Amino acid sequence: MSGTEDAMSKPLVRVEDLTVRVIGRDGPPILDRVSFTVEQGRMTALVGESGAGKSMTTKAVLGVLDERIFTTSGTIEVDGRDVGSMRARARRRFTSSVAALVFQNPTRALNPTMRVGPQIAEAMRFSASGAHLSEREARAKAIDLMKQVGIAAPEERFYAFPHQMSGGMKQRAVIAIALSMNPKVLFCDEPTSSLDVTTQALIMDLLEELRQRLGIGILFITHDLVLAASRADDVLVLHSGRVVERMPVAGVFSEAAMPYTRDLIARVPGVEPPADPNRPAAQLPLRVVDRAAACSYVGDCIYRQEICAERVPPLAPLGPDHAARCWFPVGHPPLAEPSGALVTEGSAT
Amino acid sequence: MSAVKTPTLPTPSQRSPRTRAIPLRREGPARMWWYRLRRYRRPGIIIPGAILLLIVLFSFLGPIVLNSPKPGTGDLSDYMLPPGSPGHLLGTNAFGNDTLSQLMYGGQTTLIVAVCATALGLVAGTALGMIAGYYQRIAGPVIMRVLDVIFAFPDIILAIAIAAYLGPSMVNAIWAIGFFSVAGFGRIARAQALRVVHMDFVVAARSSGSSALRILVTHVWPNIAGRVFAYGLVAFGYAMMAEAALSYLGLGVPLPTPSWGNIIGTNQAYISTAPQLLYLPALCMFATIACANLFSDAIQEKRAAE
Repeated sequence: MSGTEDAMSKPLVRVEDLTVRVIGRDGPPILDRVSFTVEQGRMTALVGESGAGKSMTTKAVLGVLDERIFTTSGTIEVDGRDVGSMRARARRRFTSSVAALVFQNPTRALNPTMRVGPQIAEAMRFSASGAHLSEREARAKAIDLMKQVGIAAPEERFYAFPHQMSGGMKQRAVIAIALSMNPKVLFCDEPTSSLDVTTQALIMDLLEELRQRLGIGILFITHDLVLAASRADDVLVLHSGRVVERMPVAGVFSEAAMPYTRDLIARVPGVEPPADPNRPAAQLPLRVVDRAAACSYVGDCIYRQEICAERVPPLAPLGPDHAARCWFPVGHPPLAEPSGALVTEGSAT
Repeated sequence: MSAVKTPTLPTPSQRSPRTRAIPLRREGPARMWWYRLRRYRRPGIIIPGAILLLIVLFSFLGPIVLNSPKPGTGDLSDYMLPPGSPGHLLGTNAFGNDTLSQLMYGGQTTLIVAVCATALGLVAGTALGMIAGYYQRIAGPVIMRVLDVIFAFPDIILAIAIAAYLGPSMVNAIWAIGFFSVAGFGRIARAQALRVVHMDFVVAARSSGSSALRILVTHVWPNIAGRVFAYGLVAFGYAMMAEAALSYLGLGVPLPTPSWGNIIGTNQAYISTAPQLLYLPALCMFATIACANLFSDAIQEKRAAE
């Protein structure tokens, strides 16, 4: 689990400088140079508020964004292959054989007019990258998958309609569908946010078990920092389409340097981020000329200085596996003078 | 209280067979259909449905049960008998044909034409509409603009033009009426397909490389079928009226095969002397169309309430 080992194994998903824009709209892009990796057998959590770009990131990686509306740039590598340069059809075929998506809302993700079992079996029988199993084989495999994800009495549930199942069971069925293509990496788009906490814990246990048993990598998307901190290996904090902090999960509550992450932690009942002796007394009045050129969190940041409204801070490394996008990272020497003169030679990338 | 025996939960192996989970038995198809139909037991659905069924039975089984004379085999000496005459319950027309028999056989023609034309429009229109909803880039707009052109023509004028071109016959009437009903089904199917194609399960099937045909048949169609069939009943009413209009003008089903439309058309000269010759087929049509619309509305209401 150390940094050197991770650097040696090839990441399952490597995203570099992923930028997504809406065609014909100026201003800051929806995703601004997002970079991250998902390693084999590890869970990377993507944390952020609504509209931060979490789901956009998965959609861009899986190549299901509508090309009439969005333009994508940057490098996307899935299982060592650059999928960004592939043609749409070949890309879908390849991506779906390596990666699978677990949807946020299991009720919307299942066809209400189709029995659950055939839905699990469908991809194995008919999809372009599937195994094209016979009906009997696919049925046996689907029942096996239902057993694996913890659906009781799978032989009978095979013939149940989605409305006959509870939310947690539907989410298990969705995970079974995702697993049906033997993926190496699982994208979980807020898989537990429509479930109650008990079910949430069970689903998280299931993901944890699948990760250990099958060795798959998981990109876990959530707005719940505590959930991410308790289950993931690495945490990636996203704000307004930018990665604002990246760190191993162990240090989230003690070492977070970006004020946004610290504010997220401060909102958690009973958790207090470590006090910062250098905290400024008052906020400066805010004057943002160009939102694309300002730090995305400048509006609510208690540490903000003039430079924050004028230049985007770089995602500066603060330690092994730890980086934050802030001119004045808490607990670290500032990268710039408040007036704007750069302290180090950090080019604004 | 001392020495209370604490109850211990039996381990799974100790459980008696009675406590095992009751299997989710897959019901037989007949029983499933009964469960589904049972939900529709309400007067707004049953009454128009029953009347529709009666009209169908009247048209198709009536001639057999009552042993009516075949249409066009009337005795000219029995012409223009008033209703209540012996052997001719509703009288006869100018050619001595039995009015009741004409009504029943005419019902067969009208219902067959209307059902076939609607089915034609439903199949073609729904297929086009689903394709338009799925392929939103090129095929969608092209199909919809073509359907808009059909939609822009007054239905009946279009049907008259086609029927006049093809010549009067039952099959041609079906083609003519079916052709203009394609546009309506196309619009409904596309609108409903647009609702479905962005749902997660369609996106998932798409991204895992399922074929378009498979997605449309297994994922889109079952989710839009209800609305399409509801519109189908309304379209059925329109088709009946169109058939009647064509037949009235002599462009629909040709004599001697009776249809409710051509009965009205051929007997219009007798509206003052024997009004029942016109009003009875008109009443049949009114009842059928009204019941089809009421039935459709009531089912839609029931489904919306669920």
